[in-house]
Amino acid sequence: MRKIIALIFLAILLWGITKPVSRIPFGTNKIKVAEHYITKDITETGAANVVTSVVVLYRGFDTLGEVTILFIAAIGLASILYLPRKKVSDEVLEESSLILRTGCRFLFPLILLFGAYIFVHGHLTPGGGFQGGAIIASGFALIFLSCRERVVSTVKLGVVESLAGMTFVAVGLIGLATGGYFLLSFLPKGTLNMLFSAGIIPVIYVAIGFKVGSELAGIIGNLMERTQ
Amino acid sequence: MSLEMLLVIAFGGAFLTYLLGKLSPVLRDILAVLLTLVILAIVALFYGRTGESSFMNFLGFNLSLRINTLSWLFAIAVATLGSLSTIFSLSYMKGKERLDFYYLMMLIVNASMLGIVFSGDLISFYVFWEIMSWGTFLLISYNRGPALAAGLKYIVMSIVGSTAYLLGMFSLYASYSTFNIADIASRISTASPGYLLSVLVLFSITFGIKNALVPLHTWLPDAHSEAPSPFSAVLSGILIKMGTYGFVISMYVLVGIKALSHLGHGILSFHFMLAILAAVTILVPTFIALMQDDAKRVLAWSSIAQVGYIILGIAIGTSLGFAGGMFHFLNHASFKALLFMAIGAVEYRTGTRDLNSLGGIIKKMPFTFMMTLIGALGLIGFPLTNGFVSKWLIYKTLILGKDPFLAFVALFGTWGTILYAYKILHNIFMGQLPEEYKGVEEAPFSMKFPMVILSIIIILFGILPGIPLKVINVIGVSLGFKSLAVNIWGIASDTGALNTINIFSAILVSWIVVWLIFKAAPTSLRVEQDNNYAAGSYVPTGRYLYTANFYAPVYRIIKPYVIDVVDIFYMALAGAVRTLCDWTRRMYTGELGSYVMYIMLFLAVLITMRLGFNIW
Amino acid sequence: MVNPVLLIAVPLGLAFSLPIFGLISKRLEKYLPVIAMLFNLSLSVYLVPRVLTHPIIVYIGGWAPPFGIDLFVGPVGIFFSVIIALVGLLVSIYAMDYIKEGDTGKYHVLFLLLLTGAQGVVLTGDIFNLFVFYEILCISSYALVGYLRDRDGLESAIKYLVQGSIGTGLVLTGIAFIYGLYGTLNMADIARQINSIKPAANFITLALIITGLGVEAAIFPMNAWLPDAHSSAPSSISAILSGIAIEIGVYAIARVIFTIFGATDILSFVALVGIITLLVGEMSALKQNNIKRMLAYSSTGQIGLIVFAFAIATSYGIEAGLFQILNHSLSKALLFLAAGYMIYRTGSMEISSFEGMGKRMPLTSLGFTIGAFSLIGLPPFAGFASKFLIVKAALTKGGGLYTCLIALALVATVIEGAYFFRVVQVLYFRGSNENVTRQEAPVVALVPFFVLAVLIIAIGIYPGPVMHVLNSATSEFVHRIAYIQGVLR
Repeated sequence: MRKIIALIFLAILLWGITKPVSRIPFGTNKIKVAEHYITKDITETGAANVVTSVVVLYRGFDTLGEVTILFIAAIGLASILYLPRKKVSDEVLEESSLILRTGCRFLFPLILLFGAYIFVHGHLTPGGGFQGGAIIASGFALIFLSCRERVVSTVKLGVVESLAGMTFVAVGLIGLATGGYFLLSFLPKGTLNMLFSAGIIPVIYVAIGFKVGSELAGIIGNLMERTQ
Repeated sequence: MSLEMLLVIAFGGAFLTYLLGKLSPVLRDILAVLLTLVILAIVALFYGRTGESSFMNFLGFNLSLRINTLSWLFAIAVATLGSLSTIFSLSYMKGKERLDFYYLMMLIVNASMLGIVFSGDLISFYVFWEIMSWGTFLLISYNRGPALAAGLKYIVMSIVGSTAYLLGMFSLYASYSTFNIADIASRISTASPGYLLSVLVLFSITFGIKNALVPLHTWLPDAHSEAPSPFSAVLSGILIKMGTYGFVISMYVLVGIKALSHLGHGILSFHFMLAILAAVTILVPTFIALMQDDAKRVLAWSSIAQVGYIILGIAIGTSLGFAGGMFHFLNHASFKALLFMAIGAVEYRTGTRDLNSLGGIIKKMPFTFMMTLIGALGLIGFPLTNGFVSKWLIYKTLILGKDPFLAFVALFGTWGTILYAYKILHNIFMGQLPEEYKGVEEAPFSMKFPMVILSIIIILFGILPGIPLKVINVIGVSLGFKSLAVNIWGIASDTGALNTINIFSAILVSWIVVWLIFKAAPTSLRVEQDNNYAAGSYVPTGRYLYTANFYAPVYRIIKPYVIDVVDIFYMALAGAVRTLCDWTRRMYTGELGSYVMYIMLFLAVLITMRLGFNIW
Repeated sequence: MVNPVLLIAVPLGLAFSLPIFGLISKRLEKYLPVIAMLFNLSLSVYLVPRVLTHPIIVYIGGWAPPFGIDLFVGPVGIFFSVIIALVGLLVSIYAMDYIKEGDTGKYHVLFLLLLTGAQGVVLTGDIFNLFVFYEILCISSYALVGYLRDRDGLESAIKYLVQGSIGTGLVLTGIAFIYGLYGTLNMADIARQINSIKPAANFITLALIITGLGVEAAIFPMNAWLPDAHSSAPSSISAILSGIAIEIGVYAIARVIFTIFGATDILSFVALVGIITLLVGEMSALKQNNIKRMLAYSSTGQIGLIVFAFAIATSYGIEAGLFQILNHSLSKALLFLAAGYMIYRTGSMEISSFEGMGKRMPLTSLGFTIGAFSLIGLPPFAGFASKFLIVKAALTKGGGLYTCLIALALVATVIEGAYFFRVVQVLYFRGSNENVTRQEAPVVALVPFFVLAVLIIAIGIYPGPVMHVLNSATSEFVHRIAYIQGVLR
């Protein structure tokens, strides 16, 4: 019975959604804002990657908010999983296999490097802070899998996280102080396609990369924590 | 001294009293009494003043205070009863808990009643009305125990009333864009009768609830009997009369006597329906009062019945009836307050007000007995008390208006009144004094004093009814009634004059005659009660004279007819509402699946309404 | 001139830095929300006179709308901003002593971010940005509801999370449709292109957004999460959720309906929904024995009243709705805060366990009583003014529908009175007062009680200054064209 009702609701929802969907002009030239981004982007921002310039500059405020959401998710999870007295269980963990251990030790620095590359080159190539951070966090996930006796310090991750967040806000405030606009791209645009170009994008992406990396690693670390 | 200052003193003084109570209880008591006396003096000095002044801007509306003879009459009653009950409280409340709070609320309620009668617009009227309502709620609840249920009942009904008032007030505003009473009154004459009727019915609900008009009375018996006695005196004496004031304001000031007479024809007119309600209010509660065994409950039901007389007089709407109603309001304020205080004094000394267990207190508290007697005579309407004059006026109105049914009901109610008034007198003061009350003493001075004042008022207005009637006549004329030929002894009129001097002389003469007859008769032997009871043989120890089931034959006759059906109905309604509410609450099952379903349901309904039915 | 973006940036920056302060000293953590909210309050109050003359439009990053994000700091925004900062400040003062359990540092971060999210929602002029801040608000409240980590808290946090996520999912779908249809996310720019909700596409988009926002705004029947969440959260959080979070939801809906879509056609339906919400909320509260559940149900009822007032849509109605938001924020915050310490002292949420509180915690009880009286709408408290305005708006609007609806609303008031007066009786008059010793709440908790109570009474007696702000705020909602022209100069 309930399933039938649910299906009816879904059908009605689908029926409704077809109306706006059929009106959206797919496949035509992008209108208005999107067109502006595509055509004016490079001259306005100096970033080769349009997506990045939209994410960090035009809609940088949203990105700040999204970073905050991730921060909240990490903090919220930590607060719910918080244990008044941390007691690591004495249960001896099963060793992971030699292949996994060796492979992870080998891959870990490379993964970090790749992650760093992704967020440092956010304004030039596809990718950016979020992606880079996620890659870095995946490196930590591997460490958690392979070297089970290692404990990642959540305190240190938290410090990195906070510093990165503060950097983002600070960059915004510097923009406010120098140019009168919060998150203003106060650095020079530089030459297109160079590493040091596109104003504040690299700075912010580095901050985001650190932040996302440490947050995701922190989340995994929190979930891995054992008690008796 | 302006009206604003008076209210500032009244409210500010209340809080000052509260704060002072934290320092010293004695100072607090002194300040409370002083404050009420000062207010009384100021109000008395306002006599004859008229005027209106705006005192505050609230949400873009001018709130104004105005004074005229009508409001002065109510205000002086408020101030008098306020000070007397505060004095009465001094010893009655001594040693009870949270006295600072008690005095604060008592003074706030008094101040808000002053605010009500001095309000020049509907908003400030409502504001003070609500302050009075919640203040009263807190005071009724003060005694704990069963008082809690009484308080809750009171406040719920009161909010229902406020709701009706708000609707009435705003529908007037929607038509006339003003809240000022005088402004509305000057423009309302062109309104259609249907509209006026709807507004009047809304207001009647509000004021009927406060006035305890049947079928809106059910809060009163519980509230009056459970409240602390000094406050019962205020409650019964003046607070419920705010409803009377509301009726006068809405019927004769707002709508006006002319427009009122066009609302319906004959029996189906507004004021006749109100009169019929008032008649029912006299009839049924009187006999319910007769059945009660709690002295304060008797008085509470009696208050409902007496309010019926007041409304009956006012509703008939002739100048004589209006005068009778208004005078009866004053009288009821005096004798009912006196009775509540007397019962309070008895309760203070004996610790009970159960009519079946008391008895013979007259030997210990003769003064209180005298006071109760005067109050009871006033209540009955015995000549030379004020109750006689007002009832005379009301009967006369009914007879002149050719309303035999109403006149009969009013008379019938008086017979019942005699019965229960005697029941109170007898069961408390007569008969054998139970062992446990042997040590009872007379009431203290602070209780005697207010009672004396009230009894003086009762007799004074009974002998010289012209004093209040002159004021009432001024009010009547200002509302458009014909002027009455009032003199100090009563009313001269071509359809039969009222002259208390004649009555006074007649009674004096008959007393002398009776006294002479008794003097001439052989002297009787005074026999002690217990001696008499046992006819000279063995006298049983302990209590052997009981006065339970006082009017057994009468009870048997009336019992099937005097059930408070309305209360039963309201209680059932309240129960049904609670069940319904509980059912509503069960919609929140606690199951996540259905919650999500609710969200989707809302969306689906919106989509279906638009796409399926093309609404919007 | 001070840039209003600081209202968001400063709390956000402080929230990010809070863990680092926590490393320096655990005791510092609890002062940061106080500092942040103090800053916000003073800045908002400072901005009020400027904003009333003409709204401030802030371009983030210097990109002019519709290409970048703008903040529209109009009277509405600043009105909410003051409320958020004020209630936030008082609750954070209260929480300095109240929050002792758990990872307190994380509590303060989440609390500060919740308020930041609320600030962002009311100030932003971009619908996607609104969504982002809305998510900040929601997600931090999910986490805070589960903060005590007891069974109830976690269960209701999960339920809240699921329902909230469905809601935000619907909002996001709606925003996507808007972007697809009109190619812009700026509210003024969208509003310029939408003239009516007659086309089905527009209506469906509106329906998705309203339903989604309705979950957080606790509009019937999307409010099932609320009683659980509000009752199992820590009391300071209940106060914020009831006093701020759900009002933000209502603000968002009002913004969408009035400014973006100009959807006056559906308002009578919205009014109906508001009254149903009111009735269901108050009726559910009547028989509650758990004080926080009772207050939570009462919150849904009050939201219904606010929605109804907005749906009257005359300037009187919107004014009344905004006033009721103010009243509800202050009163409900006071009620939850006072109830919080009573629960703390007795260890039970049962109303019957509060017997003798009038003597045990006199000031707390007084605070609770004032809050309750104000919520019922008794003079001379703030609730009277707002209820007065609502009835006035409904009856001057005329028409049978609104008259019937306001009559129903007043019936709900009667029910509300019944249960609040019952609690007041328990506090002061039930049980015996003997053997009760005084155990007042600590001073840091009394400060918020005092401020809130004084404000409730002051606003109740002199609503004039508030009305001044509300008048401008109302015209911001009523004059859609002026809003559009203001942004897209």
